[in-house]
Amino acid sequence: MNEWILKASGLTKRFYLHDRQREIPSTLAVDLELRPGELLAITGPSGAGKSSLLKCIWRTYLPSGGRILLRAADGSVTDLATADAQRILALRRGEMGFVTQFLHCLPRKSALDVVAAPLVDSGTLPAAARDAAAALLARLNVPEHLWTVAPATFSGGEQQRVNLARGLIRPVRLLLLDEPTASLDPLSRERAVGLLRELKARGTAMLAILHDAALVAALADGEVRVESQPQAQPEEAAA
Amino acid sequence: MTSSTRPILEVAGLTRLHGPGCPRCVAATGPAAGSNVCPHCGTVVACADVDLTLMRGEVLGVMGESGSGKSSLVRLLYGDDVPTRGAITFHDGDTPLDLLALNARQARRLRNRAFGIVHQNPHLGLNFRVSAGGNIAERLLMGGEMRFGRIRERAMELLTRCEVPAARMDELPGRFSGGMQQRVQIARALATDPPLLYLDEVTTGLDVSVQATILDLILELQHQLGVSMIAVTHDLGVIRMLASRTIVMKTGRVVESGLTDQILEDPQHAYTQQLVAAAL
Amino acid sequence: MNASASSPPARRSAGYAFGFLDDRAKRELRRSMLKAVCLPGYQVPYSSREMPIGRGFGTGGLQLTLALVGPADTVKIIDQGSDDSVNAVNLRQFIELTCPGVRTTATTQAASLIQTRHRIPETPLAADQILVLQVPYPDPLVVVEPSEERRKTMHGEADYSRLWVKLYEEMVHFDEITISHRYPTRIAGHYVIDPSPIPRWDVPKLHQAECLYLFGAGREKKLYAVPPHTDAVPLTFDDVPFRVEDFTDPATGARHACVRCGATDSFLDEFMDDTGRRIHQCSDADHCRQRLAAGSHVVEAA
Repeated sequence: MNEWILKASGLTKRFYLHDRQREIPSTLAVDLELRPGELLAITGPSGAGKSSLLKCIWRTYLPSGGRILLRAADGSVTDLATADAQRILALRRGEMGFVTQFLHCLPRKSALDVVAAPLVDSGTLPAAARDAAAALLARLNVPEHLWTVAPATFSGGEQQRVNLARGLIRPVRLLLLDEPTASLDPLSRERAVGLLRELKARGTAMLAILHDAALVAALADGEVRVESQPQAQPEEAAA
Repeated sequence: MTSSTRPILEVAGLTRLHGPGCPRCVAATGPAAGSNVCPHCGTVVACADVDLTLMRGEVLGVMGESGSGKSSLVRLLYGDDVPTRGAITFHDGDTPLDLLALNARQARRLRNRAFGIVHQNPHLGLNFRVSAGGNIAERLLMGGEMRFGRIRERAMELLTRCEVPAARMDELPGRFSGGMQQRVQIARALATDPPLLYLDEVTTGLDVSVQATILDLILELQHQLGVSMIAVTHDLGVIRMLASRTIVMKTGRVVESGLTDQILEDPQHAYTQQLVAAAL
Repeated sequence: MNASASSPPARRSAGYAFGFLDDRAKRELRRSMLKAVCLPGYQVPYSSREMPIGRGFGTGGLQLTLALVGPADTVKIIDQGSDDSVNAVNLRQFIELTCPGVRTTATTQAASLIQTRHRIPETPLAADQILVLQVPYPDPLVVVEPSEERRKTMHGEADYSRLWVKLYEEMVHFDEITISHRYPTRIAGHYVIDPSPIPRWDVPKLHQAECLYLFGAGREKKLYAVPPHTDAVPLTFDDVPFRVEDFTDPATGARHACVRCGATDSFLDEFMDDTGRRIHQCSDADHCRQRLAAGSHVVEAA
């Protein structure tokens, strides 16, 4: 199926801070087209708005301009920039996934339960979900003795592996990844790359911020280059 | 647990005035005016023109500080107060009910069967002269359960599920810690398996460690039972944990509404930005 | 009945209207009684008159009796089942004084109007008889709700869940409902009444009876009714049956009998006799007397 799954045109994000009466530009006029099984790497200098781009697609940020079209499994097309909250929630539960940079989770939940949660939420029986979670954690080289412990005390790398496992456990059609391997040791990184390759092969479309060129070379089928925007001068700020 | 796309509660134009009221009350109050009090007639506009929709199985956050109208809103929705204007439709199964058209008896029965509420102050939600089990029994009895044995069983089941030791079910609420009292409130609120639960600042005032466990419990119950919830709070951490969508209230109006993560990370309204920036 | 236009041939004339109360008072009481009959179990407020006996001694019951009684009536007054106790005698003499021509009796079957405190006669009453009960506290919700306004709403909506919770708490603490007198009873499926301090034994008599029961609370200024052929169901849980007093002798396993007439099916009072032995006697004195007159007698245990 070579039809695009995600198409953005003119996607722009600016922030307006009311107390300073100042506009902060972020992402500027991004166009992209993503097909199933493809991974596009988002590249650009730090502070250019790469994370903002992902967040605009996930709708944590409200885009200031442009369109982001998502084609769902049933063929319907939604403009994520303007869709209502219920639609976005449904898409987040069904079509889309997001591996964030940082792990937010409940204080008392064990790593296994954290990873299993997306499956349980979508109706999988807890036992089966935990089995899948265990398999994924093992694959990502998380020591078994940590599985029943809450991740709050884990090292950065361990947390990231839990985060990754949670983000990958439920099959989705579009996966957003924000620096998924930044804190991983080489072995874990290799495992992670292997997993991502498998997902690609199964048709998952991915948009990823990857922090090094080697990863980009290994995984990406294309690049979305995000440039720095000129800072707006105070006199030019919107009144 | 996935929520359906069917609404369970629809609120339109909900307004509550305290005082004589005049045609300029609503326009002359609100966030822009910086006051709830009408300068022309002295009427207090507790809340005005509140619209919201709660979908089945969803947790909606209502965020605001004191004076925002969030507590008034809950009182109006739960039936402890009558609005000046507006409509509240509750979908009881497949039947839409105009809550404001019910008589007192119908309203009381519906409330017992279909709503639960947990207050910040346990004295509002529990009868302190009656045992923990008795507090649960009251809702079961009002709902028509007349078998003593079954009442005992169900009370024990609920308390256990809310992590209150069943052995303490015959104790008076005054003997429990604050966190336990909240658990008893939750157990009581869930006694009749209501489809809709109101949480009014339920963790405010508790020790931080206790707050976390109560929130955990609420989330757990939400997952297991699929209860639709409206969680009123001023605490951003609680909103982030519980609610998928949030409305922000100030001076009696809804100033912003949307996905919780969007509201917290990309607030649009000046007041929301202030709130979020101020969070420790 | 009018105040008598011609002087009645009474031995002593008290100088009052017939039945002591003026006709306006009687009319109000009768209207209130009719309302009570139309709304079984509903507490009808009425303006309770000053009576020449103290509050707490049956002024409510007395007002009902005086509003109902006519020269053709035969009146019986009992207190704890006895026609001869001080209070019963007092009330009976007052009626004889103020209602010239009215007959009084101790025989239950002969009375058209019976006023009672704390007991209902053993003999089932007939359709042409009225029983007036003296009530100290008319409202069973008083124990769970201090506000009268809220109690009225609760009665109106038949919201008795807090009363039920009280019964639940009793079960929890005592494994049974320990209420002995004034057992809350639901009338005609709606209002719950306090049936006055009659024992549990008497509560079943209210259910689907032939006669009219009227309840008068003088101090609280309320009256209510259980009309004939009306459901009167004591509150209890579906899985906890309502039990009446059990007069089984734990030593022998047999039911105690009345020492005078030998009855084993009446409500018994317990006394110590002169030798310090525990004995039992029918609470309903007339019932006991009739049984004796009919030839039943007890065979004294050796």
